[in-house]
Amino acid sequence: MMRVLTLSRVVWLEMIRRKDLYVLLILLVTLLFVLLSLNIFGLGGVVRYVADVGLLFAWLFAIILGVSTAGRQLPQEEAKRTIYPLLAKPVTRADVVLGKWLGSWTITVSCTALFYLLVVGVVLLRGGGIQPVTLAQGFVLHAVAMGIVTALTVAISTRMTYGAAASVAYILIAGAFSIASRVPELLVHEEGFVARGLLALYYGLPHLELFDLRQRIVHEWGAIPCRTLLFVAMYGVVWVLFLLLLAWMGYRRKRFKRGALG
Amino acid sequence: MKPKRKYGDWVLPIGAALLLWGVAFSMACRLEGNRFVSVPIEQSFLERVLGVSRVAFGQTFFEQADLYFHQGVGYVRQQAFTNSVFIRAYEVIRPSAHAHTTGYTVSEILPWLQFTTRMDPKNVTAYLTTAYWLRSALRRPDLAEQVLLEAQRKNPYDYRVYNERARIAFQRRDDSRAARLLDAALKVWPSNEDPEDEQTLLDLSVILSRQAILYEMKGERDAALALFRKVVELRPGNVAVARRVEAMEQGMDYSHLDRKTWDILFGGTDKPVHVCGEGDDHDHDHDHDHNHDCEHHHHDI
Repeated sequence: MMRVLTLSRVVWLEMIRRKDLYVLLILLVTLLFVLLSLNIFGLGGVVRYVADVGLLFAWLFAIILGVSTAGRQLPQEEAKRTIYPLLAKPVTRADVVLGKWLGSWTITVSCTALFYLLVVGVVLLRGGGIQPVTLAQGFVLHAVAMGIVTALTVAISTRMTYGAAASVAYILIAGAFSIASRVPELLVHEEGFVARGLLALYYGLPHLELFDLRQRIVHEWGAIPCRTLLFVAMYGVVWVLFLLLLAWMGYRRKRFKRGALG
Repeated sequence: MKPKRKYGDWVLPIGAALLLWGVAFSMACRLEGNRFVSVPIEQSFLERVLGVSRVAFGQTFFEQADLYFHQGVGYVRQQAFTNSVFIRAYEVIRPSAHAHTTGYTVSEILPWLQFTTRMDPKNVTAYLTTAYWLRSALRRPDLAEQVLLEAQRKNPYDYRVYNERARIAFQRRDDSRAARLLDAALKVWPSNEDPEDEQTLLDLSVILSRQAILYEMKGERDAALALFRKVVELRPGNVAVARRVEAMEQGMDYSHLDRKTWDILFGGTDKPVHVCGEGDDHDHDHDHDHNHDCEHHHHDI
């Protein structure tokens, strides 16, 4: 476990050195200030749209950060050839995969927390309110979803370059959000091969829409039952474990060719 | 040791590249023609940058306004199966009680309506919806008038804008202005709409009815009667107007009731926004089927 934690700490150190997070934070701050500066017919107290757009961008930026951080780790080690000295130490490949994922996930969740704080701060500043329990539930599920996103990207990056892994991850995440959740509606008009394909997507892709509580938070619908929260969180954990297993299977017997990835 | 390249070695490739670029440039000029001349001067920066896609963005924002009006409850759509564990979980997670925003909270939909009109200034329905909520729920006819003036600037030949402005003028007891605006509405009717469309015809009958009421209030009974007859011709099923024509022909005088009639028929008096009952399907139609020519079709999103 210490080895995994040490590896994840290295991911953190690299992240602090890089500028991705700062850029995303500046972008979010700019966006929120633009939203705040809008004059909605001179009416005060109009604040829900700020929370809505802010949380939407918190999701978007968290996904971008998660994919870019997780997708870079393994290909970068190989491109820089630091994988050889790393594996020469008493570290298993499972440790490497787990450490890289843990680092990427904790970074993404920490940054997501920052994004949430920023959005909530702006909403409160504007005179709005957010139900704290619903917000906490939303954040927990968001964090689990980021676990899936980072694990998926790490799994793909075991066999691809960073660019290819990030592209495939974005496509799968977009598909999970926009198609998988709508399959029951789409199936009404489809049959045969297309219907079977859609069903495969429905059961094969993670249902990320279950982790998105933005509408409940923004429109103040209150907290979801604990049982549902636990069920969805457990569903997310199962997906994370499955994807990490895939990542380990893809990495454990991988042969490294000098300069092949990067 | 590398052989020294002669100066002349570069002439052919650079010449060929310049020639190809020249051909491509002249082809591009020919393909483009002088289109820039036909670009309307009043196009905004957003219109130029986003092109036609701004209409799609506008529609998305308008749908978002609708979602806000229903407090985040999305439309119920037909599904091929409903017994999936994911669907059951999602039913619990997403907002599902059925309610509409009321009173001042309606102001939460206004940013999305404003984004809609910024993105797609040709979306007259969005302007009318904004004006409706500003005038009714928020009791700000002054802001509603501003919105409609902007709508008129962007859509100078749309009868719906004049018609709505006439309503506000009447609400402010500026009857002569209301009459002028109704005349303008009638001149530009049906604008870009299909003249055979049910809603367009309904709008025409509303304009005529309003004109008739204004004439009647001024004491010009014959002009009012002629207009009411036109309404009956347009909408033979309108029993209320038919009865009124009959009564006027028999010499009845309704002029003392006209302002109240206008309010009842055309929404001058603000109606409370309803809240659907628990278990109602959100996928209901807000265009209520009234016997009279009531017009709040534009206003529920």
